[in-house]
Amino acid sequence: MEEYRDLFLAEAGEHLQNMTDRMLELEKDPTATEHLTEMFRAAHSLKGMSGTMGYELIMELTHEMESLLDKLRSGEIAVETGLINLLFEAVDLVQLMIGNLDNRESFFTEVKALEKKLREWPAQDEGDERKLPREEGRPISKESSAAEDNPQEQGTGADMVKDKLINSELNEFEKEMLKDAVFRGEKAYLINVRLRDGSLLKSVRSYMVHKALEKQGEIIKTQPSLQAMEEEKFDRDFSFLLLGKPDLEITALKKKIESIAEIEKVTVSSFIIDDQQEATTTAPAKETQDSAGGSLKKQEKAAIQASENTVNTETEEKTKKSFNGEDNGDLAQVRKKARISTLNRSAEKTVRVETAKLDALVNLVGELIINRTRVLELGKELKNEQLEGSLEQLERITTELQSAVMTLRMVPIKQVFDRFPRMVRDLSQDKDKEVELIISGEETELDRTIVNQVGDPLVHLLRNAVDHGIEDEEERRRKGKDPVGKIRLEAHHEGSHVVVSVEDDGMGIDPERVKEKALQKKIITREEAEIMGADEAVRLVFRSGFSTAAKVTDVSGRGVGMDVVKTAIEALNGTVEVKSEQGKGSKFVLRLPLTLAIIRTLMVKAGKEVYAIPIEAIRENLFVEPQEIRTIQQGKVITLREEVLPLNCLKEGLGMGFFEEQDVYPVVVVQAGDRKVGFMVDELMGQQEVVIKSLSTFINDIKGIAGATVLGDGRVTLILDVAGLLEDGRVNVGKENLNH
Amino acid sequence: MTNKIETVSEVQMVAFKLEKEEFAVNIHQVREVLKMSRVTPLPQSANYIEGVINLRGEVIPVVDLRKRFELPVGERGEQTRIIIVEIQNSNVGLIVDSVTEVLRFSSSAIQPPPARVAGTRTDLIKGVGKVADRLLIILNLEKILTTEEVISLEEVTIDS
Amino acid sequence: MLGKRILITDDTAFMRMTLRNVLAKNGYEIVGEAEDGLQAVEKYMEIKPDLVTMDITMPNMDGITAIKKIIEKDPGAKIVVVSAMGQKALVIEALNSGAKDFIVKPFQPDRIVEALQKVVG
Repeated sequence: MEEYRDLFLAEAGEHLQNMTDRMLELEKDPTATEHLTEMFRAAHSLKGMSGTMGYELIMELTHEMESLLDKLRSGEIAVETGLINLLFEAVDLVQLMIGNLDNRESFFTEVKALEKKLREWPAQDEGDERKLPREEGRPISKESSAAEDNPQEQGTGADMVKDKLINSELNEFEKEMLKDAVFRGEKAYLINVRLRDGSLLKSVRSYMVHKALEKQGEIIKTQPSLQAMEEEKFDRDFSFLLLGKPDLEITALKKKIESIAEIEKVTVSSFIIDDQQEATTTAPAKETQDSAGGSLKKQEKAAIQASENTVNTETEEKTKKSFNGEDNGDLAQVRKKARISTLNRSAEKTVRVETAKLDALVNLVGELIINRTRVLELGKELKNEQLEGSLEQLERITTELQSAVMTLRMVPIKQVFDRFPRMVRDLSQDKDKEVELIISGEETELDRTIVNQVGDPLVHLLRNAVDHGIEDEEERRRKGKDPVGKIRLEAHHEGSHVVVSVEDDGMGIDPERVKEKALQKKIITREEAEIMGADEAVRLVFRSGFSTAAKVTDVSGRGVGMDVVKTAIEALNGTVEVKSEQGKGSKFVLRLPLTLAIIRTLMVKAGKEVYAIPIEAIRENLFVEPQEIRTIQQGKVITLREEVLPLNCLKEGLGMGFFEEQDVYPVVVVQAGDRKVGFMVDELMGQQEVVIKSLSTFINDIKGIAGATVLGDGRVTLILDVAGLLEDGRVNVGKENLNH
Repeated sequence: MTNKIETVSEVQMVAFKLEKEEFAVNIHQVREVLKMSRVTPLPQSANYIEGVINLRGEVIPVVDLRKRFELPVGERGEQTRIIIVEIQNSNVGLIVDSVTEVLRFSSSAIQPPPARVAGTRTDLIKGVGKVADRLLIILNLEKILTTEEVISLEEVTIDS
Repeated sequence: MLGKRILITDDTAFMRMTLRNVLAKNGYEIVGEAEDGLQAVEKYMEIKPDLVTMDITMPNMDGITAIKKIIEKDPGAKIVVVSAMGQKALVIEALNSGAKDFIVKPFQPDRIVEALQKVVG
C-alpha cells in the first residue's frame, strides 16, 4: 500500500494546494470563473483518489465540495465570502484528515457537520434536489471491446467482468461516482490484466499498469484491492475500473498495457452500472441515504445534531468577521497561515519511512558500533588525553544513536495480540468449551522483526491451551473449577527482554505420561526416565519428535509441535520455558530480546578461532587453576560457592579441537534455563557488540551456533547459541544440575 | 533456467581445475571469482564444508571441492580460487585449484555422462563437454551441497 | 528487431557476460558495457544506444541515479532495470525515475528477450 499511499499523499497535497490558490484568486476576483473549473477538477480528483484508497470520509467530503463547486460553476449560486470560508473549512478538514490518515475516522463528526453545511448552502436552498439526468436504465452490457479482432477474447472479457467486479459489488459511493462520471460525459472502462505464469515482483507489475491507467483517467476501483495488489495477494489476474474520456482509444490503451513485460493478456471494455433502480430514478441521493436508515445512519444524524451547535457558532463568528468588512487580502493571508500551520502540525507528528530504509539504517548503525569499538581500542593505545575525551563523547553519542535507531523499529506487541481474542473465541466454540482470554501488557514494545515472528508460536501455544489445557465444562465443574476456563496472555519488559507468557488454568501436564510417551518415541531411555524429575519431564514436550501431528490428543494432551515453538523462539535469540502443575494449569514463558539486530557479546579465543558468546547467557568469568578441577563420573567439575559446576573445554564442546593443559584456564560460566556450565577457553578477549548475520540456508542447522558476525576487519566470527550448545550431547551439563 | 539454456545453440561455461581434471560450471550460476582468503571453520558440519566467509557483509558457506570429490588434500597456492556460485538463490563459494577460462560450448558438444558413471552418480554430473580434444566435467551445482553422497573421482574420470 | 543497439550496465563481469550472451544470440547488438552508473551515463551520451539495461546496486553511482541522469539528458531514453528479487521499492523508484520496464534476476533468457522486445521491438 505504501507506494500508493505516498502517491496519494503527494498528489492530494498538490490538489489541495491548487484548490487553495484558486480560491484565494477567486476571492480577490469573484468574476474569474475559470478558477471554478480548476477547483471543481481538483475536488473531483480528490474524490476519486480517496475513493480508490478507501478513505471514505475524505471521499464523501470532497464529493460535497464537488457538488457545491458544480453549482457555482453553473451559476446556480454566486461566489461570496461566506461560501469561500465554507470551502476553506472543507479544504482544511481534508488536509487534516490527509495529515492523519490513520486517525481519519476520528474526524467523523466534523465531516458530517461540514457535509451538511456544504449540501445545504445557501441556507434557503435547502430543498434543492440535484436533478441529474440519468441515462436510460438498462442492465449492464458491454458496449465495445478492444478485442474486436478476437471475438473469443471478448467473451472471456465479459466473463471476467462478471466474476471480478460485479460480484465484488460497487458500494454506494462508487456507484455515485460512476453516475456522476456518466453525467459529466465520462465513461467507465473495465481493464482486466493477466500476468504470465511465474512472474516475479507481481506487485510492481500491477503498479506499472496502475501508473499507465492513471494517465488516462481516474481509477475508482480495483480488484483485488490496492492493498492486496501491493501484498501480491493475487494469482495472475487483476482488474481496474477506470473513468475516462468517452473517446478513449481502447485499442491504444490495450497496446500500451500489453507493452509492459510479463503481461500475458489484457482486455479493455466499457462498463455500465448494473443498477436499474438507481439508474432510472431521478430521486436525490439524499432520499436513498435516509431510507437506508441503518443504525449507523442514525448515529450519524445524532452526531451531526450534537456537533451542529458548536460548529455553527464558530462559522458564524468567522462569517461575521468577514462581513464586517475585513479586507479580502488580509483574509487571504490568514487563510494561508492557517493552512500552513495545519500542514506543519500534521508533518510534525509522523513521517512515513520505508521499512527497508529503516533496516538499512539499523545495519549501518550496527556497523558503526562495531567500528567504534575498534576506534576506542586504538585510541586508548595512543594515550592522548584530548583524543580520549572526544572518544568518550563519541561513545556516548553513538550509544544514544543506537538506542534511538532501535526504538524506531519498536512496535507494540498489540499488533499480534489483537487477533487472538477472535481466534480463541472461535477455537473454544469449535471445542465446545467456555474460555475467557485475558490479555494484558499489549502496549509492550519490541522490535518489529520479533513482533512479526512471535505470532505463530503464540498461536500454537494458545491453540494448545484451548485444545488440551482447558478441560470441558463438565469436567471443570466436577473438579470444582470455574466452568469458564481462563487463558492469560501477558507481556512485560524485564531488563533488555520482553517476557510473554501464556497461562491456562486447565489440567496441566502429567509428567508421567510425558515420560511414557518420550519412552515410546525413544527420546529417552528407561534409565533416564527413572531418574528424571517432574520439571525436566515436562520440558520433554519441547524435544523434537516428541509429538507427531497425527497423535496429539491421545497422550498427555500437551505438546503439539512444541519443538516448533521452541525452534522459532530460539531463532529469535529467545528462550521458552514451561511450568505446569497437574490439575491446576500450565504456563509457557517466552523471553524475547527487545531487538534483534545487535547483541552484546564476549569474545573468546578457543584454539585458532574467536567466538562471540552472547552476554545474556553469561553469568560470570573465572580463572580456574588445574588443581581446582576434579573429575567425577560425568567429567570435569569445580566447586563454586558450594555448588558443583560442570566444566567443558569449548573447543571440545564445539568439536573443533581437544582439551590442552594450561597453567590457568579462563572459564566462562553460562546459563540456559536452569542449566549452568563453565566453558574453558584459551583467552577472554573482551566485550563487543556485534550485528548478527544468519548463516546461509545451506548450513543453518548447526546446534550451538546462533549465527555469525562480520568483525571490523572483515573476518567472520561465529556467535554461539548457549542453549543449543548445552543440549548437544558432547557437552557435559552435569546430571545434578538437571534435576536441581 | 538451466533447461532453457540448453535449448540455445551455445553455452558459456567457467572452466576450472581440480587435481588433473577439468570441470565446468554454467556461467549463469557464477557470481564472481575470488582469491583464496581466510575461511572461518564451522563446527559440526560436513568435512567438505571449509567454513564461512564474508562476501560484502553476507556470510556465505565455502565448499572444498577437492574434499567433496575425495581428492587428496592439495596445497593452496597463488592459483587457488573461490568461485562464488548461486545455488537456489543463495551464494556458495567453491574452492578450486585454479580457474582457467570461460569456454563456449555448442549444445551438441555437451553429452550426457558416460554410462558407467550414469548408473550411480548421474545427478551430480550434468554431462561432459568437449572442446577440441579436451573433456570437461559439467557439474550439477544443485546437488553439490544437497546430496549427502560421497563423490569419488574414480567414478567421474573419463577416458579422453 | 534487427541490430537494436544495447548498452549493458552491471558491476559484475559475469552478469554482463550473461546478458551479452543472451542478447547477442537474439539478434541484438551490444554496443557497450558499463560497470557502474557513472560509466553508464558517460557511455550513453557517447554511443546513444537504443536501449540500456541497468543494474540497481552498483558502486560509484547506483542505477537509479544513473537513470535519472540519463533521462535528464535524453527524456526518450529507453532503460530496462535489472533487479534482484526483493528490491521492490527500488524497482518502483527506478520506474518512477523514468525506467521503461524491469527484469528480475536470476533471469530466464526468453523472458529477457521478451521484455526488451516490448520496449524496443
